[in-house]
Amino acid sequence: METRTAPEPSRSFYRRLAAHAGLEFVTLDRRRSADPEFHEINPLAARLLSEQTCRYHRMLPVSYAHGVVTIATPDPFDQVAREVATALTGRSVRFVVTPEEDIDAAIDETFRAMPHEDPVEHVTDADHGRVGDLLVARGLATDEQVRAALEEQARTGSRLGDILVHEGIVHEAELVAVLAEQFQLPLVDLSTVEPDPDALDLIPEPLARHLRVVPIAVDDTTLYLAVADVLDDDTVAALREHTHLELRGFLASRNSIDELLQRLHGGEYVAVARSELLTRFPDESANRVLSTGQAAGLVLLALVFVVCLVLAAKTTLIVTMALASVMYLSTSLYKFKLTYDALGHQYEVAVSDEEIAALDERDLPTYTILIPLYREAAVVPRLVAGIGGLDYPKTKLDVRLLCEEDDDETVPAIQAMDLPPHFKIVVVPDAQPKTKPKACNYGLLQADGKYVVIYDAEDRPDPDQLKKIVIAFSKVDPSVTCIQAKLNYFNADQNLLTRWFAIEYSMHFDLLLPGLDAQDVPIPLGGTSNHFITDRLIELAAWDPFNVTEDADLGIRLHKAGYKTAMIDSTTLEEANSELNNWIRQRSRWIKGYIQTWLVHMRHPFRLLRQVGLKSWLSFQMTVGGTFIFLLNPIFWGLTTLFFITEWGFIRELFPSVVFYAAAFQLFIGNFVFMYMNVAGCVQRGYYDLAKFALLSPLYWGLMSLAAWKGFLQLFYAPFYWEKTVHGLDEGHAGTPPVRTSG
Amino acid sequence: MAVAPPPAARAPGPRSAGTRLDERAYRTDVPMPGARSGLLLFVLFAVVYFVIGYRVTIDGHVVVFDALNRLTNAYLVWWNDPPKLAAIGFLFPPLTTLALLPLTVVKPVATSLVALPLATALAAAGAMVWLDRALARCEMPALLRLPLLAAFGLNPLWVFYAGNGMSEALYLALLAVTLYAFVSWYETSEPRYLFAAGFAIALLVMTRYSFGFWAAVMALLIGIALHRRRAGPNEIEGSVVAFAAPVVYALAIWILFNGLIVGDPLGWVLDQDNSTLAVNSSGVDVAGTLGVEQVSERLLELNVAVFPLAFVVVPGLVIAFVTQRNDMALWLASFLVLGIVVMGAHALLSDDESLLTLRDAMPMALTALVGAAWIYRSANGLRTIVWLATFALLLVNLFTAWDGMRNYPFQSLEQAFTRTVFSGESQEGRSSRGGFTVGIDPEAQMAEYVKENITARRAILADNAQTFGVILLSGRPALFFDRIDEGDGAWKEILDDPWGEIPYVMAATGARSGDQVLARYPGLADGTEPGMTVVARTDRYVLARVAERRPQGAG
Repeated sequence: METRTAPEPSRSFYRRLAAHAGLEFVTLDRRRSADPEFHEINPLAARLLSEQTCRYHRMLPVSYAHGVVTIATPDPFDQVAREVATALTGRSVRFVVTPEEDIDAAIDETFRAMPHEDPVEHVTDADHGRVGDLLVARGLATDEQVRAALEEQARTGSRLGDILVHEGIVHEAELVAVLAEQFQLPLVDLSTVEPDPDALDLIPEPLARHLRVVPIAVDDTTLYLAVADVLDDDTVAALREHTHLELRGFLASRNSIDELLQRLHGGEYVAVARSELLTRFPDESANRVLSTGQAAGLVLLALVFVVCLVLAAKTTLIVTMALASVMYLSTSLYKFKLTYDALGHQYEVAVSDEEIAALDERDLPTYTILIPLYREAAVVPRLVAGIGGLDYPKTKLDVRLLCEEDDDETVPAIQAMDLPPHFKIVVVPDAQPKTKPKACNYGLLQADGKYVVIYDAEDRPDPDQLKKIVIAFSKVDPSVTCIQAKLNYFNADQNLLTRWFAIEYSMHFDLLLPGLDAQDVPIPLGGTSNHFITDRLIELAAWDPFNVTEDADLGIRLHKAGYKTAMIDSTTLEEANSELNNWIRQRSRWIKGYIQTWLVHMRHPFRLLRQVGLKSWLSFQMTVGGTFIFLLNPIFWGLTTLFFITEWGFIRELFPSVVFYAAAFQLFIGNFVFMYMNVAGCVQRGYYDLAKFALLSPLYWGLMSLAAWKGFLQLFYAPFYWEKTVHGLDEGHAGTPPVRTSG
Repeated sequence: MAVAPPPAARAPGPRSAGTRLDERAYRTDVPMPGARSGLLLFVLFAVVYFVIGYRVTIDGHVVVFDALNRLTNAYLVWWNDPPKLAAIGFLFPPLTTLALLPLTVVKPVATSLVALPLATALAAAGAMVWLDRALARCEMPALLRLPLLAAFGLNPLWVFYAGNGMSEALYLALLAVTLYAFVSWYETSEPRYLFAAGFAIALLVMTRYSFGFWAAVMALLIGIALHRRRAGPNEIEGSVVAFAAPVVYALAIWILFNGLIVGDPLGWVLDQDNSTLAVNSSGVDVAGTLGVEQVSERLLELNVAVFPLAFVVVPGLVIAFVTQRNDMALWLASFLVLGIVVMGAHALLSDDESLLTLRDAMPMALTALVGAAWIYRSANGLRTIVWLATFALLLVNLFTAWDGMRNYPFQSLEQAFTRTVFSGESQEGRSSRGGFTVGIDPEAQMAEYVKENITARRAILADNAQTFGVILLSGRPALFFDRIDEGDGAWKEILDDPWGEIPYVMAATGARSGDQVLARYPGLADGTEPGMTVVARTDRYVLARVAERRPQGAG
């Protein structure tokens, strides 16, 4: 067919038509490519409609970007064409005006240029119906199911096919097949594909991962890609920076593309997960316990201490006691101030039920949930139930179950469960350090979500937590990068240990952390339910795989980078450790991690001071550095007990007047104040039944000191060892989560 | 990416977690006094109280010896050799002495006795600030609060105790905090006020043990109120625990200290009465059995003199309770009535009329004011009348208090205060109602002698409980035998056999002093004790040199 070009009068007419319709005017004539009105045709977008449809309605999809298909047409007022285009593409459409000569020529060129490897039957428009119609026609779904899914689509903005898959009505593979037919893209089964290394070399892995495409084959003219969706303009443009070959897509499911990428690049991914922070911010990594400077400083300090001890033992010990007392007292007073301030105020971001109800689910972004698992097959069903209880469109959840390669218990168990498609198994290749943060870093690499959160296997977040976070992020200061939800326990009443744990967390998350938030100082994050803006988390190199309290460390790094953390009044209930040895293991890891965190960020104390300012620096010393108090506790308690029993004069001499008064104040007043703050934390939270157990807090502190020494010593012989917490110990406990009594 | 605009400031509003007790919705639009106005009020009252207290105490020599005793103990904590916290002693509730510690660390502030008016001026000013907040919590605007505060704060009895170093100012300040917190908790159901009330009353108990009874009553009332409002058993239990924990802890620690250090865990409960009797001897003839009629008459006198506002407030609160089911009204009325009843019962059971002192009635005055404020809050259409009646009665109280201070028999130098204020003259050497001789010249003179003539450490054996004034005013406790550090046992040994062991002995020579040195060597008073040569004597003290060897005929 001879290609005609539109004469100028015709262009002028269509320009005026476009202006009248309030639309853009474009030309599709390649001979006018220098024209500002020229619009390049995306060949893959053009395939969103069949040739017959295009010719019949005289329209052609010319580009696809941000979920909107741009369709060129000479008749902008053709409503039927608009409706057909919307229905057949399954996307929003935008019309642009072009001369009819241009559209005819473009249609000829596009469909003549389409390679046909196999004879293709002449398909009718009936076969290119809506996705729903296609699924019904093929007996994969009923009309009622499609209708219900369409209602959900109207509510959430999710794709119809995704909804049907998440409802379990259609399998992902079936959907992909229908989509392939709809878009006239060939299908590919990636489980059997071994990509051509030459093809892989053309597109850098980070880009491929980001775009979710996998180059699988290449020839002289064409690069063949496994794609999860029709390539939009941005994707095409990004690929064009690395190759000028024709791009041909083969449709595959997102999961299979992810799995292929993991299979191909797992080694690189785990290297990134392990080394990203170390590479980009070596001074921030806990890959070594002490820096050279710190080691030298400690040796020097030890030498000075020994010399002073030899020369003036009593004075040295008195000074040591005095310094320890000052540290103890100042930390206690600071924490008291924080908790007292929080008693009278609500510092958490407030999100009302009305705001949640007013939320348009269509505006909700994809949310990634990372759940590290290790030998926890038993809790997976409960985990799935917990995630299932979240009030968030399932089609917008990206739940990644992070399993270790050597976990031959959990992986098969999950695979056997036939989980909903928003659950994805990510198998982390075996590599040291084998820690939760490394697994989370690995999982983060393929995260789809605008926001990402970590939950533990046994977590039960408030159902509306994710929605609250989305709203909260829209309300807070733009520098807020993380929002921490509160943690507490659903098995608080299982035994005395769990009650103490719940009391501790009530005080910590309901009073202490909000108090820190109000002071605008670094917040050591909790173990789970910290919600991040994904891009910023990646910018910060995510979690330190060498730090066993990677959450606390990240909170500090976040602050150092100029970002902020906010608290939110939403709770995730976890399983409190109910068995003493298990508790000690867990607590020792936390103490070890806090000490690690302190050591890392104190490698350059003056630099830290410059970075965060005096107030934050001091706060860091007293919150994270205050961990050392747990090591001091047994010493002070031991001396006190010994003195009361023996009235040994030497002990009396270690505490001359001022030192004695400070220490006595701390012992009798300070300890009571903290015990009372625990009572306050419970009552503040509405856990009135726990108040009386809070009075026994000093016994709990004794256990904490025991765990502290374990963790401290382990810092030297096994700094990266992750004391695994056994979960599921509340099985058989018939208790209900503590009830918050509120007026 | 579009950047969201900065959010509106997070509402710093408090949160409520408990069952609502007040059927009326809490009005969040009622302005509470800010920090600045509180500070201004504090400074104003503190200055007034300190100036008056200085004139009366330092210039007028109207020094209450209880206060002097506490000040000495606080001084010894820092300046004894070695310094020792145990010097606070176990005679008085500990907090009243501990409160003086920050001032006695500066030697001249203590030895000049300026610490006395300064400490109580600050405490009394603090009480006014908390009273202001309590009145504001009862929806009283500032323009109406200030005249009431002025009338209350300038009450002569209040002014006297705001400037004399006694413990009343401190515990009344804590009572003001407690009542404010309690009222606030009732209105808002916010747990933090319950915690504040618990803490405040724990401190209150450590300034006055009898408030332990109030604490028990309040705990009971909390439980009953929550039960009536159908709160769950957990909430009732937790709320009572939250309130009572500080009190129980404070008492437990005090019992432990008494057990470990003094060897008598509960002796402080009984010793309080005896020591009060010994130090605050009224001089009024209280022979014979005390009857209910007698006690009632005294209580009525006290009511008129100290808290006439209660005549109107108690019925008003009862009416508020009956008409509005207003629990707080009943509680405040109960506190008032119980306070009076307990005072009377204590005197009856002890068979001691002198326990019915003016100062012991002061808590009822403060509670009556808060009660009046609560009536104001409750009586929506009658607020002006309530305010006028309160103000009028407070004005009347200015005169009744003055009259009571001049004439009521059981007091602590209140009469001397009125004379000083009226005449501007020093009361040194003059007697005051209650059998006291005002002034500290005997102590000062003896202290001066000691400072100028004795230099050796541990040179004087004296009964601290009677000679504390001399010890303090000398500023050199190291010159005296350290009974705190060396213990009662060692002290008694030397008392029995001082010859060659200690160069000097000192004794208080008053007939009712109870001085143990004088009791052991009665001849000291008139200088006839063998082996002890009097080297200095004042109206109340004698200092004698002890012979190197026990003489014949020595005791």
